[in-house]
Amino acid sequence: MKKKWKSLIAILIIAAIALTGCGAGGSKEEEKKNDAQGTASPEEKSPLRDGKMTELRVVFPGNASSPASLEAVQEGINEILSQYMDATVKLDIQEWGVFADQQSLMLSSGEDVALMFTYLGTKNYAANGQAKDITDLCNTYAADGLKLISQYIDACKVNDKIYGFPTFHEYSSRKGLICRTDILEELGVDPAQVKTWDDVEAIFKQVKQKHPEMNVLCPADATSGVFGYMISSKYDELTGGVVTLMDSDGKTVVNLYDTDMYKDFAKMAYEWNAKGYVMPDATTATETRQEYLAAGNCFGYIGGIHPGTATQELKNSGIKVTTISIEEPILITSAVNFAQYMVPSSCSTPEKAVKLLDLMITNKDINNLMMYGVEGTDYVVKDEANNIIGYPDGVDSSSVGWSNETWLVGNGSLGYIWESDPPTIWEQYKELNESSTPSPLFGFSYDTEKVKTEITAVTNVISKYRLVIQAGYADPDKTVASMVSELQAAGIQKIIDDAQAQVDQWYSSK
Amino acid sequence: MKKSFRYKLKKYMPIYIMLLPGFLYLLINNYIPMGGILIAFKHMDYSKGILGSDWSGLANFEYLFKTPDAFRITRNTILYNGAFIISTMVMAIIFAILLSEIWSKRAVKFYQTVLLLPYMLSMIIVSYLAYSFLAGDTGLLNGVLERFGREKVSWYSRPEYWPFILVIINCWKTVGYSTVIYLASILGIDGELYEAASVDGITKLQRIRYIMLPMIKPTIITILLLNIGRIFYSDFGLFYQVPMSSGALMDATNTIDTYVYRGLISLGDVAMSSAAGVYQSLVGFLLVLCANWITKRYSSENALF
Repeated sequence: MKKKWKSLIAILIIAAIALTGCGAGGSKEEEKKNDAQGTASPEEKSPLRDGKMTELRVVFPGNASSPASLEAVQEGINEILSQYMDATVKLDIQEWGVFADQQSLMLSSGEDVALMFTYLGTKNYAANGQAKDITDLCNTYAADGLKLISQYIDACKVNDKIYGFPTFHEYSSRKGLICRTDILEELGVDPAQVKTWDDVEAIFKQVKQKHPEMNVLCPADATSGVFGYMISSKYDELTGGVVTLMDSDGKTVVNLYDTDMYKDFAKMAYEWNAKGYVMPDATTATETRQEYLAAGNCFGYIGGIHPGTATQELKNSGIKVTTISIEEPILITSAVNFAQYMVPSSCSTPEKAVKLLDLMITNKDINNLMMYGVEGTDYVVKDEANNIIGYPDGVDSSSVGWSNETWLVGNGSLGYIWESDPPTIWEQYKELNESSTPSPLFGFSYDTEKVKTEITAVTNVISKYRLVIQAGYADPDKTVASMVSELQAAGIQKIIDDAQAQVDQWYSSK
Repeated sequence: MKKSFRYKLKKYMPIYIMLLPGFLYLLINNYIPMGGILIAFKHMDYSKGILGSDWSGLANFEYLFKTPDAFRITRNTILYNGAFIISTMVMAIIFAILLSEIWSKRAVKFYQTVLLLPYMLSMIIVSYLAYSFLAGDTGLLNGVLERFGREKVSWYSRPEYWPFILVIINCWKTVGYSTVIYLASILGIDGELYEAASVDGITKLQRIRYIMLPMIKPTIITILLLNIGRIFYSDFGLFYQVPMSSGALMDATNTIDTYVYRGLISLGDVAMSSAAGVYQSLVGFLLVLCANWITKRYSSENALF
């Protein structure tokens, strides 16, 4: 017995030593941080030209961690950087499969990263102290970039402070029907004449008549339900189920599932399902929509539409699709701020990092390098006048030394246009973004800190009912009512009250 | 005195050195991470570090109890695991006894491999195997039902069937592993006991009842105690992947682990998920202590400690 106690004590002591070891490490890092802040004082020479060649590490996800042209791309960027500051860049590409883990590891272990890509927004990182408040630095070192994205930057603010810049991507999408062109032609439907959801249903009816063996609709993704996108432009969701309606003044926060709009929608979903427009087992669908399309027995889906949708679906499924937009796009905070570059709080040279961020938003050459790689080896200009480029002879998508996606680089719209895309693609994207109706709460981001307990319970209730209702499988009156009562029991009212208070405060401070 | 110490050192040193890798492994993998238990009581702020973050008391635990689902998820977790322990144990002992009666060594090897195979499969694969049985339009079961003129059943939206489906799947998957353990302990029984018994004219059933079962009792108790320690954990794959995360089944399939996963996937709060882990280990620890105490009362030689 005594021996056991001894060994137990020994283990505890070892554990304690291990812990204090960790603690010591932490405080060292803090010292380092203080030093970094110290160098920012104004009486010293410009932090961008301090004579030290800082290596700025930029972390973002990609398909390959060391593409063939990596060195050349970095050199190209370094050349541009040398005009602005004493720094070089190190592009640290993490493969998609490990990106999330590597990212959280880098952030929590305080590695010296200049710019970190995030596809989850900066809200949680700001709350955890992992992202740096760069509001003041932006005004000094990124004034041009800030001006360029002034329309959207509000979405990236947390408590009125800037933590990162959004990359250029589609900030919104029109909602509507994406369906097979061949069948549409066979039915003789003119897509331009389809304006409302009733018109869409008329198409479904025809499909059902002509092709009774075919599934009319598959789900667009695993979380929205077959019909979910029909209403997703009608509200701005602050957190699960807590929304403000687009057709209201935006000052009241309500429970989405307790609104008349949602109840009507649930009834419609149930009717449409009963008419056989939904593929079987749609709530437990195991494949992606592209696979259902490619399999050939699915007519289409209801989802988001942006200028690249038709090309993207053709690439992924081999099926030619037509897009029919019904709902007008809306601009909400979370759609803009989800893809951002932020400066981690452990960055030792935030001034240089912010300057690099500025260049990524404003510099055409950097964007071309990061998107397409090196001219001559990875792409060649095919049409000088229209800025159109393509693969050099003998190079294709599998052998090219560099590939990247628009939403992962700073501002792709400054760069060239790939030959397979429409020549006006950037204008189309800009037009989509600029034509979006901003939500009344655009720029507001909800801090969930006080209601986490309720959110976990509410999230569970939602995952129990949402898909079933939005695919029209359940008797709408009964199911929506029991969902609402379970949400009440889970404490959704407390979240609504809390959100309402924050919204009121946000309005009064504006 | 000094000499004897040296002598002992020389004598036992190799044994201590042999112990070292295992000890280090345990220390690094099982004991040092226990320091992380602190996270469950902290308001995590990465810029302050684990030790520097503010204490939050028991606030991180609140969400596990302050929900109308708390009773349901706890009940599901315990009842399912109870059913799993009993069903697997009974089936495994039956299989082990049957296997021990087979004389052909090849046949035993074959059956053992077949039984063990599902244990090696990932739950994701199991979930798709189950799906091929249960799918609404293409599933095997519905095909059979249709053939016999019965109506198709939409398995993924009917919670009442799932307690049985889950118990069957779990039993199918884990029974092979336990069978191997029980078989090993049956084969370890001294052959003289059987000979002596056959002289007394014992029947087969009596042999099982009076020789085999009492002889493998220690193994049964050890495995039981180990399983009870994990009764508050649920196999995430089994409860999340196999029902295809179907909302309609959640009353029957939501356990503590899936509840925590669903609730925190969007919040990403490390401290709250740690709290769930602490809660589960704590209850598991207490249950093991209790079970061991009971074992000690009734058959002290079989207790774990």
